[in-house]
Amino acid sequence: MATIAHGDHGHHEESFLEKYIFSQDHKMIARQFLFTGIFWSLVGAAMSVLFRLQLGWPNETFPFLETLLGKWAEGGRISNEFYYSLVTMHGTILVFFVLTAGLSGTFANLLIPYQIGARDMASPFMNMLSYWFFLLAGLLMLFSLFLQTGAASGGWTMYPPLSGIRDAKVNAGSMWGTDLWFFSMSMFIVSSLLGGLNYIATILNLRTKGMTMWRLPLPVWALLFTAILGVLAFPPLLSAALLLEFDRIFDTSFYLSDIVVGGNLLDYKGGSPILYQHLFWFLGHPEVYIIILPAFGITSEVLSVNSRKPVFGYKAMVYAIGIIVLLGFLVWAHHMYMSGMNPFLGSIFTLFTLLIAVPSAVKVFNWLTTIWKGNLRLTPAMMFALGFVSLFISGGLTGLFLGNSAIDIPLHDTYFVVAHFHIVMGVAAFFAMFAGVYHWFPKMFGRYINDTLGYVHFYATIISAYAIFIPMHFMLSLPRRYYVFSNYQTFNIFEDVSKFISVFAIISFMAQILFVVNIVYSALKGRKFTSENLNPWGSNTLEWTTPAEHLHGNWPGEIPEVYRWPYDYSTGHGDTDFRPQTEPLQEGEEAH
Amino acid sequence: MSEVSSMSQHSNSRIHPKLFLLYLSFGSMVMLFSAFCSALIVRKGDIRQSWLDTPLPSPFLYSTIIIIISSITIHLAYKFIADKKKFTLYSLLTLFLALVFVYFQWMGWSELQSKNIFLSGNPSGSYIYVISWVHGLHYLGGIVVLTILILKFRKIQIEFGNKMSFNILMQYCHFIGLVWVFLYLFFKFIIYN
Repeated sequence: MATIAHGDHGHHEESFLEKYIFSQDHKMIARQFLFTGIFWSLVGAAMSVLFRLQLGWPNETFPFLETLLGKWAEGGRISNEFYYSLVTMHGTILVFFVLTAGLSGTFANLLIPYQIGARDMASPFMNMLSYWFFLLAGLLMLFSLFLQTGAASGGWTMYPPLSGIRDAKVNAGSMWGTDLWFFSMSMFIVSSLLGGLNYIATILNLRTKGMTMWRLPLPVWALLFTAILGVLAFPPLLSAALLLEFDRIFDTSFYLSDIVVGGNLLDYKGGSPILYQHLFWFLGHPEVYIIILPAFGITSEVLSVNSRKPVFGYKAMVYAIGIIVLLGFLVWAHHMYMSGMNPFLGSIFTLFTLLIAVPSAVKVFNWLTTIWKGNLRLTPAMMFALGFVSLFISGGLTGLFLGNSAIDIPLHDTYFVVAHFHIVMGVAAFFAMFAGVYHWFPKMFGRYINDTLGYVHFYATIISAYAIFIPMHFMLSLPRRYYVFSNYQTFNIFEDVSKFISVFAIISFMAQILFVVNIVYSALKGRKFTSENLNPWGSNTLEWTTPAEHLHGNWPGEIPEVYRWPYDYSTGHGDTDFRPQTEPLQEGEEAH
Repeated sequence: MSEVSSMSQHSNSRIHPKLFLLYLSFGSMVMLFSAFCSALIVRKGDIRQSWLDTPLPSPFLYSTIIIIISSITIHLAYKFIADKKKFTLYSLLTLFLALVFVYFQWMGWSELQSKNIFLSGNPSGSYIYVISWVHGLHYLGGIVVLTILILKFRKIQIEFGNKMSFNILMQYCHFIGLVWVFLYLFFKFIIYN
C-alpha cells in the first residue's frame, strides 16, 4: 500500500475548453457520455418510429416522410433499401452507442472514482481519449447516414457475404456506408478498450483506505466485471472487422468464396463466412453482459437504498456476476444454431446457455428479497429499478426457450426473438439507466430532477414497453426482417397487432422526449442540491460525502477512510437508518 | 486537473497504475492475436474450402532472432539508465535492431510475393500478411516511443517519472517480442509445417 501524488499538472485556472470540452475530470466526462448517449438514443429511437410506421401501415403513404427523407421515401413511403438501413443503424446505435458507451461510459465515469474514494481515474488523459474516440466513432456513423449511396444496411451483425462485397449492386450502403460502419466501430472499440483498461486499473489500484474489495458497492463490482469483459471480448471483434475490411477493400478471401453478383462470378476463393460469425459472436454474446451488468449494479444500489435494507446476499451477487462473465464467454455459438453446426456441439452450447439461468436467478431472488418487507420509498429511481427487475424476469424467461437449440431453430429470426432481446437487454438496460440518472441526478447536475415528470415518464414507458413487446411473443410465425409482411396472406392476421405495436412505439418515443426535456429543464432550473443536505437519499456510499459543487479531485482535503460495507441500512444502531461507510463501527456493532 | 495535482491518492498496489494499465492491455492484445490465430486454425481445418500450402518466408527466422536480441539490449539500456553513456549505447543499439527487424519482415513479404503469394490470393497466404502487419503496427508504436525517449533523455536528468516511462516501454517491447516469437513458432510448427 502506498500514497501517490495524483496527476502532474501545475495549478492553473481551467479555460472553457479544458473544463467543458477537453476535460479530464471524470464527472465532466460522465456528462459528456450521458449527453452523447442521449443524442444517439433519440436518433436510434426516431429510426424505430420510422420503421414502425412502415410495419404498422405497410401500404399507407405519409407525405411528410418524403419531405423529411427525400429519395429514401418517394411518394411518402420508406423504400425497402432505406428500411434495411434503418434497422441496421437502429441496432448498431442502440447496442453500441447507447447501451454500451452511454450506459457504461456515464456510470463508470461518474461512480468509480466517487464510490471507491479516488481523486479521478488512473489515467485521466486516457479517460478523455476514450470519450473522444467514442465521439469520433459517432461522427463517422452519423456521416454515413447522409451518403448518397446510403448507410450500411446489412444488419447490425454485418454478416458476410452480404457485408463483404463492395459493390453498389448488392444493397444500399454496401459501398461507403459499410466502410464507414467498420471504421466507426474500430474507433468505438478503441474507445471501449481505453475506457475499460482505465476502469479496471482504477478500481484495483486507487481505492481509499479501508475500501477492501468486499466493501465495494455493487455498481463498482458490476462495472469492474463489465470492463474485464470488454477488454477481453472487443479485440476479437476488431480482428473480425479488420479481416472483413481486407475482403472488401483488398479482395482477400477470408470470409468470401464463390460469390456471384449480377450473373458474374467474383474472384473470391477459399473463404468461410461462418468464421466471421464465430469471431463476431465471441464479442457479440459478452456484449449482452457488457450492457446488462452495469444495469445489475445500478439496480442493486437503488433497490437497497430505497428499501432501507441491506442488499440480500451481497457476496452471492458478486459471485453470480463472476459466473455470468465466465459463462458469457462460453455460449457465443447459441446465436449460430442455424449455421449448420454439429447438433452435439449445439447441445454443449445449450447446456452452458441454460446454466446462465442459475446465477441470473440468484440475482433476481436477491433483488426480491432485498425489497421484501423493506420500507420502500417509491421515488422515480426506485420505480425504474423495480421496472428493471420486472422486465429482466419477463425477458429472461423467454431466453430459456431460445437458449435451447431444439426450440431455437423453429423460433429463429421471428418476432419472438425480437421480443426476447428487446425486453431483457434493451428496455431493461434502459430502465436501469433511467434509475441511475434519477438517483444520481443531484451529483451530476447539482440540482434535483422533477419527480412528477419522472413518474409520468415511468408509467408511459413501462406501459408502452410491455404493449410493444408482449404481443410480439405471439407473432412467432412471422419472420422478423420482412419489409412488407402483408404481401403474404398467411401473415395478414398480424396487421392489427402490428398497428397496435406501432402506436405504442410512438407513445414510448414521446415519453423519452419528455425525459430529455425533464433533464434539460431540471439541470437548468431544478431545485438546487445544496450543502445543507448532501445526502438526500440517506445513502451509505462515498459519493454523498463530496461537496455539492463539483470539485476536481472530489474531496477538498483528505479522502475519507472507509470502515464498513456499503449496505448497513436499518441496523438498529445510531439515530438514523443508515450508517455511511465513513462511520467507524460502534461498540457492539459487528462488521458485515 | 489543477486541484488534483497536489492532492494525495491512496494506492492499493505496489505496481504503478500506468504499469498496471500496460499489463491489463497485454490481455487485450493477447485476445486480438488469439482471435487471428484461432481463425487461422479453424480456416485451415475447414475441409470444405481450398487451402494451398504456403511456405513460411525464411527471413522471418532472422527477424525472430533479431527481436530476441533487441529485447536483451533494451533490458540493458534500462539497467544502465543512470549511466548516460551506456544507456545511449544500448538504446541506440535497440533502435538499430528494431529497424533490422522491420527490414527482415519486409524481406519476408517480398519473398512471398516472389513466389506469387499475394495478399488477395488463397487465405493461407493472406493470413501471414495480415497477422504480421498487425504485429508490425504494434512494433512500430514501440519504435516511435523509443525514438522519442532517446531524444528526450539526451537533454534531461533521468528521474522517477522518466524511468517509469522507459520501464513501461521496455516491458511493452518484451511483450511484443514474445508475441512475435509465439507467432513464428505457431506459423512454423502448427500452420505452415
